[in-house]
Amino acid sequence: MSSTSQVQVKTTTQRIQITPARRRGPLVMAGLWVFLIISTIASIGIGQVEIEPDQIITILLDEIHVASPTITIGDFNLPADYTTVQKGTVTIIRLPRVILGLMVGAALAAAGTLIQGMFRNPLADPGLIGISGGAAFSAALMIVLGNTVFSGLSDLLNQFGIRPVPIAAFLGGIITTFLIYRLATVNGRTSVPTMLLAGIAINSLAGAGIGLLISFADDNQVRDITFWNLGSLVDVTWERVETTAPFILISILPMLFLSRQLNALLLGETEAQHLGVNVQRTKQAVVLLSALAVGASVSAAGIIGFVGLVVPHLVRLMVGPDHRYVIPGSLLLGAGLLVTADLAARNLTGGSEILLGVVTALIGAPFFLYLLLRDRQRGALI
Amino acid sequence: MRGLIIACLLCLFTLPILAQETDDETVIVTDFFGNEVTISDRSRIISIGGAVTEVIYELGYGDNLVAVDESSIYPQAATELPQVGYLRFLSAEPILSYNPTLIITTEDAGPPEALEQLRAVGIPVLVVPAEDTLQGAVDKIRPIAAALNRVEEGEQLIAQMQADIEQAQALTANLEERPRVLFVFAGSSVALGVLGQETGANEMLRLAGATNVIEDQTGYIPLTSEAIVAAAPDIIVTTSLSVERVGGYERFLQLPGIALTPAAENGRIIYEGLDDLYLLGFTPRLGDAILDLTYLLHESLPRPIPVVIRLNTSLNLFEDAIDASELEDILMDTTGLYTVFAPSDTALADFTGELDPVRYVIEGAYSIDELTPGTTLTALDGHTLTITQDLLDALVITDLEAANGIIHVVDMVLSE
Repeated sequence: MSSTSQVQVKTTTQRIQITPARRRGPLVMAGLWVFLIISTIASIGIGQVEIEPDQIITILLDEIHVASPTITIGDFNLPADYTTVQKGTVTIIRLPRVILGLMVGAALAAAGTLIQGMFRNPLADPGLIGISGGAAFSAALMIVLGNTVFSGLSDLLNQFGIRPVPIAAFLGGIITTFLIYRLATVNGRTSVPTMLLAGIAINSLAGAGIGLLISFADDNQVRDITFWNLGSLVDVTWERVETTAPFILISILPMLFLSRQLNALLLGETEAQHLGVNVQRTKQAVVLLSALAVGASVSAAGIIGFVGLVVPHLVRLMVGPDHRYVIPGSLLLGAGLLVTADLAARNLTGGSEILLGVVTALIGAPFFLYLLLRDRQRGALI
Repeated sequence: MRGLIIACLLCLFTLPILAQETDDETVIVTDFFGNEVTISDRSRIISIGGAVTEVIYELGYGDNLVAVDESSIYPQAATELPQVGYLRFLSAEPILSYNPTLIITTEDAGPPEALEQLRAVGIPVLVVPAEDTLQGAVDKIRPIAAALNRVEEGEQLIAQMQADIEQAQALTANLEERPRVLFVFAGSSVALGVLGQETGANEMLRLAGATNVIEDQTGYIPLTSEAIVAAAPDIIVTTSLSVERVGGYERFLQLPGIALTPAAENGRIIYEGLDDLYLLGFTPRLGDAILDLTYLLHESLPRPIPVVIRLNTSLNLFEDAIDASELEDILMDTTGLYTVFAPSDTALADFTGELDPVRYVIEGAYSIDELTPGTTLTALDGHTLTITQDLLDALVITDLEAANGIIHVVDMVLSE
């Protein structure tokens, strides 16, 4: 039974790789939690409206109707006085923005981890299964034709208080992903390479569609499409947090239970099957959960690149390939990284914000290259 | 008796000062979305929208502006204020960091959530209509005037604008031939298009007595060279910023199709002094813009001196001085003949004294050949004007012809 012995050998090698990282795992997780907490506090605390830490604490305590303790350390006085503008800035602008940022970052990074695990390919990212392409195309469709061809539809949606562009993006992303999944599935079995190629083809198609729409679009619409394609948290309200949160939470929680299946898939599909993993079911779960998570993120914040591709790599560099750590690690790092990027996006320039997708790439890419060069000898990217 | 006169004079002097003062009267204005906006504190205003900024300056609240958006390019003072970004991509926090007490913007502002956030924080946000029509310009001024408690001044502004437009309409009412015009617009060096029916550009052409050659298409249409050649416009109108964006007039002429039009062959491409905001912003200067466009499109119309001055791009400051004086009416009347020594913008840029334009105008038309050192002329205000060699040396443009006289552009300020 040569094939069984081969499996045996592979699992052994796998175990050898995992062991040292597993010891590091809890420590790294703790570190990622610290990073997440610090970046969240910084995001709530720093902005263009000046608010002192003691004021922020008082505002937050007042918001949840908890009486503030009386503490005085130098300039730090609790409870502190604050203006309505300062209170509004924290509770109406920064809090929903930070909370949505955390969710979107976690969703994108975790979906990236799942997709890379399924494709067993370090270049894979959620865009590959058509979510971003489909979402971008449908968003552009609504931006350009929302007032003419689809005016009836947009009016109807607006009547129910639904903004046409995000809902179009969400549905567009999900439908495209489903299409690619169907294209790659023959006789109940999904071919991962076909899915990858179908994804590339559909993404080009979406790109061409956007190009076509741009040629009909006026100046403002072209600018809207560009903004949308680079993502931003500039206009996040509590309402948006409330509508997005269920989708993201429902999709990322089950992801934590896919680590055993994805670890087995690392060995190859046949091998995973032999280990008792329902491979087809796993693929379905990966596609469904990623589509839901990324679709919801994209409809809430536009297309933010880089996070889904690189965060999983960064986590693997720290904890090794074991998905029991990579998935939660990606959730934590993705969330922390995105709010940090957003903090930079809204503070680096005066009036206008830098688009978030630009910032994630600007700070993420050089850091990633640095890690890549440092670990070149180890060659341990996957 | 003398006391009474002094008292009256004092009143006259203090009246405009009083009118400029910020008043705290509370008004409730219904805005574009039907929201009732309560306004009482006008001490720190943020204006988002070029036309809105102009209205605020016209109504005397320019000094209360603390920030504007990037489309606010007029008047000059507005460009020196801090900017809060791009109209369609606003962010609430930078706006709040200026601690505004009132935000005025147009229906084009977005994203809607950013405006909602500002309202939620408790800052009054007044959204005014921004329809690209004459009525749109009027509808924009009224709520702003109401919000600033300057209703009367707002109505005067509207009346002046409408009078200018009526004047322009009267000029072209009896013309049998309407020039066929193509309106080209460049949002960036690569995003070039022509503007069809149902656009602001179309409305401007209509008001200026011309026909848009793009008859059967609406909105913004990407530039296709063959369509331009086929349309064969007599005149091409574009904005000065469009020409700048494509890399200058020479490059503009080389755009596909443009060179093959009758307009390009006859050198009839109109853009100088017409920026995006002036030509397409439907601002309080709409009347001026339509008058300018009318004279530029119809070369056969006799141009009185103020029009020639307005159409000259180096006389903006002198033009403002004429606009503000009674000279405008005198010089618009084409029955007299005048000579104007118009100081250029470069000469007036550093000039801090009171500019009295009457001193630069002489009755009778004198061409450059008739002016020799030592000639003494009498200005309209009775002052003697002696032609010196210095003055002749400072002339940069001579013999600009107008229907009722001659204009010489001079690079100096005339002394006493």
